[in-house]
Amino acid sequence: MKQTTAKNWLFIIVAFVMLLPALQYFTNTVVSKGLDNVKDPPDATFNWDAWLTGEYQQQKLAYMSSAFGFRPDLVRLNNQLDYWAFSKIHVNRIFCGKKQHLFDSLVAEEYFGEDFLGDEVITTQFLKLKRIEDTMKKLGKTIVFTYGPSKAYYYPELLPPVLTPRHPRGVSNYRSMTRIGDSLKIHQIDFARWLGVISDTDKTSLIGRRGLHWTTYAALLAADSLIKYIERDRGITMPHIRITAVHHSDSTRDHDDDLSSWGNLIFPLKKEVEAYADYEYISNDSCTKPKMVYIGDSYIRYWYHDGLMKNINSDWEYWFYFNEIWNPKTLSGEEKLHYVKDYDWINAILKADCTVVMLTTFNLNFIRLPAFYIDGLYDHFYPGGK
Amino acid sequence: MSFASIICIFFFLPVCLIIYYLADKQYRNSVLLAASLVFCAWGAPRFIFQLLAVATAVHWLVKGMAKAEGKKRTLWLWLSLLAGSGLFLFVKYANFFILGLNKVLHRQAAAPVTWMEIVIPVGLSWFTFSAISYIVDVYRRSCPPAPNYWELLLYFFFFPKFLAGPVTPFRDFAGQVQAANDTPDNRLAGLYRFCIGLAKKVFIATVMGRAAAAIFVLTPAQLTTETAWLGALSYAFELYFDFSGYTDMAIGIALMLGLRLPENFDSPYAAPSLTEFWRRWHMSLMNWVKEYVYSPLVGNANSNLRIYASLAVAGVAAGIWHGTTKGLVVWMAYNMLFLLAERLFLGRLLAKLGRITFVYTFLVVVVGWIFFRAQYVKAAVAYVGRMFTWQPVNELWRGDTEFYFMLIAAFVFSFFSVVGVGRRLQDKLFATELPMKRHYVLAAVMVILFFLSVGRIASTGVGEFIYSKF
Repeated sequence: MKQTTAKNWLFIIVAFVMLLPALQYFTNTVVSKGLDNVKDPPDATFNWDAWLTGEYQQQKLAYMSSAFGFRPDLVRLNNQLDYWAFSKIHVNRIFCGKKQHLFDSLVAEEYFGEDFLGDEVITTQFLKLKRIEDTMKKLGKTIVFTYGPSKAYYYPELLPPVLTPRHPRGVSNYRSMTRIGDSLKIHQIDFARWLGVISDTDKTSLIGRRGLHWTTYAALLAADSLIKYIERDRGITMPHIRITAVHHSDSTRDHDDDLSSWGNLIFPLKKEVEAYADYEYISNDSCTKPKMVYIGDSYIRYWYHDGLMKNINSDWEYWFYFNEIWNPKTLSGEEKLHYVKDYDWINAILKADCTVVMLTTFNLNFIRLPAFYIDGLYDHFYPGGK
Repeated sequence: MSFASIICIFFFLPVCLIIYYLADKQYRNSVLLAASLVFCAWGAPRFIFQLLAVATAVHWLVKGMAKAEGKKRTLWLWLSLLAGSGLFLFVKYANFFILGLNKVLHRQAAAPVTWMEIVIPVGLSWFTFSAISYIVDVYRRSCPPAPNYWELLLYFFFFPKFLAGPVTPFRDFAGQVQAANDTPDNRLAGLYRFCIGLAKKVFIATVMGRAAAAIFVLTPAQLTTETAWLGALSYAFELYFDFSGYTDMAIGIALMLGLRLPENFDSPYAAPSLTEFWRRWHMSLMNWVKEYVYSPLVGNANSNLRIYASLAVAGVAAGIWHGTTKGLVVWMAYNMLFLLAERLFLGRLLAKLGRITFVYTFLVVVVGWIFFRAQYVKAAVAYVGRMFTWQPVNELWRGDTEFYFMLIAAFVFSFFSVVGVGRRLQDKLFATELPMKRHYVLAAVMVILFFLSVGRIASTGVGEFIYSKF
């Protein structure tokens, strides 16, 4: 009898513990911190039609699966255990390498040449680009081709084994493009190589352990270099960046920690000390502020946040992935977003004084796309390829 | 409603169990029936009405059959079987026949039959097995008809077995329902079993399934020997842990309600021969086929020809229940070939080799599953070809640490009963009566396993059970 009672109580206690999430859902006794970068579905509204088609049940299931008690805590528990046991980060395409460095799988794919376009394709496109540059030069326009740094090239020894092929090809778009670009004397700034050279012992100041992009500090240094390049090319004096102090801190800012917060871990990844600069833009009446078009991905967003575009340009546009068109009015909400496909973008480039193209791991292979600016400008200047 | 869904784990099951335990014993079957109808209506909201109509028809026809004798009784039997299985046969095989007919018409340059492909409603197969079992058991006088319509409905719609079995003969169910054995030991054993099943599905089956899905979309030319084997093993383990996980959960829920459902698996991959494998895999279905297809065919015959023919028909019946694709046909023929070989000569050879023959069984079964999964025979043959010829390594698919961890776990849990220690551990774990100390340990382990499983569901989700689609 005693054992029967003990077993009954054991069942009740165990069942009660297992049902705590259900109780939490109804009573909301404990407030759990929500999950980062997770959008929860809305609750389902019952009606007989939705029930009979099964739509209500699907929506309800999706809602309850996200709304049940202690869900954020259980997700964090799962993610933390997966991280400890399998070095797994629950963010799409993100893998944890050695020393807790996070890598986007696309970065590794590019590094190992899995999306390699081939020297022939690159040479063909760069020959077009060379002609375009020469023609733009004659028109008094500057076009600058830049490469953003890739984490895989900075920390190849830290790449996770699952992203590392057994027999690397030894070629990649970046390697071929910089080589071919140099040989054709394309106007290109290799920020990836340049930043690595100037800060050989302080790599984490350029691309952080937990970040996807370059750091705000690296973007600032690159911006300064870009200004000087344009000044030389156009024979003008532009507003300058003056760095007044460099701090080292483990309090990450802006996008420097854009990956690890998405991982929803109980114990976030170790912070690292990174460099941050205090800076100002120095300008006077003799400074020229060119009108510029920036084409690239989210690396360029750092220049927007740094105040580069606002301080050195009389007018500017930022064409995100050669698709969305951002300018001061769309960013402030005054105007709605425009798209390159609906825009007379060739005219916009010809009206601008300078066009800066930033290519990174995520869009190096765009050069082969007929819809990208190279083919578009080439066909405009040389219809039929003449 | 999947057993592994949040809505089932935290809302449906607890409410059902609480009301069941608090209800007076005379009302418990009503509670179960209500819960089962809600469960069925959730997953098959339109279809439940058709099932209720079939159940009602079977109830009345079997009542008539029970009172009849001789040829009239046989007539009632066939009418009942038609009512009980007609819907299933139509829904399951109409697509196949119409496609076949249209092919013939196409060859004759005639207009094809316009047809909208029917989707098989969830639970229909298992419902039909239950119906046939009930009809035949009453016909054979193995048990009397259900004392009332509601008890029969409970048998047909009993939610732990509604989605994907285990296939339970009416005579086994009826006796239990009258006096459910709702003891503390059963409740705890049921809870442990449920948690184990959930973990099998959420961890091993899901990870293996993801790998198998990624590998099977590669073309044969893209497959390396290593990847082909990993894909085949992943699928074999996905199938086993998905279905056995479901079965554990179904049996666990039933135990918590004081009812016993039959077992479906007995370490099938550790079987010493293919013949033994099919005695350990999906046992409830095999027993059903043996009792309701094979036995009536073979009767009291002594002739080997009749026995083999009956075996062949029973095997085909079990096979085509899974489907009618060419891959499945080849899979059936492949299995029959090995079963025949074992009967004729191979079995004797295997008996001499001892316990190691489970390796042979596992390899034969793993290769067979390729055809089971494949839609097209050509692709399956090419896949198997990549397994047995050396193909150099490429980087198209690579397993991560989690995959290899789960693969090792799958091997361990599939084969641990091969060794004595494993068998003893299994017996200790699934013993009917456990000492209190073991209960405390098991309970703690199950709570941890439960929350790990729920955390995994909450984070990455979990797919439907494979066999609920049959």
